[in-house]
Amino acid sequence: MADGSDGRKRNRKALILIIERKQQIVSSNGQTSQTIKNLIIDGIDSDLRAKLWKLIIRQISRVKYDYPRSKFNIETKDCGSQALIDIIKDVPRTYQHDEAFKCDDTNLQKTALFQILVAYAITDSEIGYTQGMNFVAATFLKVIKDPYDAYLVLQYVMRVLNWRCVYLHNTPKLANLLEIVQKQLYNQDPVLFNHLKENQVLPEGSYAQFFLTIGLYNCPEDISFQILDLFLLEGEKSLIRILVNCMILNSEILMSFVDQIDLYTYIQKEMIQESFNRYGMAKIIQGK
Amino acid sequence: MSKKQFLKMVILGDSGVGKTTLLQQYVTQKATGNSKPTIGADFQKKEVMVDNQQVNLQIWDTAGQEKFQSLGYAFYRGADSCALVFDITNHKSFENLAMWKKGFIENASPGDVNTYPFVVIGNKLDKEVNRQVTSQEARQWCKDNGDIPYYETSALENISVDSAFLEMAKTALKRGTQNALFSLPESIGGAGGAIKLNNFEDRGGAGAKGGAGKKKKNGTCC
Repeated sequence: MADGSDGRKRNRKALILIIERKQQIVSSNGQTSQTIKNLIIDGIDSDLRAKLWKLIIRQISRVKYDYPRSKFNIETKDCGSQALIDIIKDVPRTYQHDEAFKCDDTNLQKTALFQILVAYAITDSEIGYTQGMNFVAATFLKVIKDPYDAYLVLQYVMRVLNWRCVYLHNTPKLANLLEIVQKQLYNQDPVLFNHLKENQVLPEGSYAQFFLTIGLYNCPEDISFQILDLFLLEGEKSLIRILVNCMILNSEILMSFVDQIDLYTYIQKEMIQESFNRYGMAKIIQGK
Repeated sequence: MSKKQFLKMVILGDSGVGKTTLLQQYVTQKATGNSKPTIGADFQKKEVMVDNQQVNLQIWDTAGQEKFQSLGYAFYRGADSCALVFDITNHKSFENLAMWKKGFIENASPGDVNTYPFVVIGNKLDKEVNRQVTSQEARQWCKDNGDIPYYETSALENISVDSAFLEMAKTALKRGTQNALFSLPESIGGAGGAIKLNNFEDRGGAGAKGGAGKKKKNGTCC
């Protein structure tokens, strides 16, 4: 891992080369490049992020061919009525502290976020729109800027990484992810697992927000971007690892709480951020 | 003063009816419009005095989108009271109260449904000009559903918010006391002398394991 400003400069140079040469990110046997992964874990410069994300989705999927710009349909008449109602409700409730996303009833339908969510809903009538997608799409927009390109990243996440199953009715994939987290926690830190169980801390209350928004709901921008960098490369296994390892790294703090609501609040709102600030991404990925 | 009580309250209703804003207003005494959509559930605590008794409220704010309804079922268990919230400017949100109530009853195992402390809240009184649900219509629904207390609130302008939550706490406490008085002990231990009673106070209000204070070292024994 790179240390100090020299290391950072070296990493920047390496990433620029990878982007310029459109270097292979996934090998023929499906393995993602360890070099890219290490660069992401060290933290990439924000001005290179959009290019990296585009490179990842271009190399891993054919999403651009499946959803060409010419078919970027934002006609509300083609969108399911319930999806449209929900999108209209949520667009003015997404990142309203950010000037770029500020809107009201009079102009929300002209916003890029509205257009991306409608365009997605049209292509996926089974889901239409599920809350959580608004934060994910808005974040892609923040980084990528161009609405169509941000829409492509959303399609990549939903179709290629199969994240759409998290947003299906009754969230089947979410149930599966929560179970995996519970099992890993039980195997790796049974004392902590039991402490949470004794305090009746439910996985639905603790981790659902993290998965449904890919860590975006309660994390500051720099941390959530870093989580997304790895998620785009590796998919759900990176999220599971981050969450479980953050729990274990903070085991002592979690064990000191004896109130159910305090446990929920800490896990949902503070734990990930505190872990990144205290340990950094590399240590979180490596684990205790 | 008697022992500290713990009450678990659950807030249900369609997306965008103002559940989070109501809670924000009640707990922090301030509210901003357009709070972000609740994903999964959020949690708040508040300590209040009810009939000269100190009560710790644990309030569970749930996601309103129907797709998340089954996710929310896990949160209902052990709730001591439940607020069914609709938006007076959105008739559909009023029609869906029956669905929310049914989902709650089926999953919370609330005992005698007729005496369960529901409260119905018609929110967004500040948008009276856009009203789609009359007070009369809402009151009739409450009457038909077991005389549920009805409050019209404005979470934004802090109208009747405290009263609605206080009503929930009062009826939950009253029901808890009655249950404690009339229910039989769950078990009586033997030689060890361990006696476990189905006591409302001892079970910490229900689903919630009671312990006040953020951490052990700051914990306040009840």
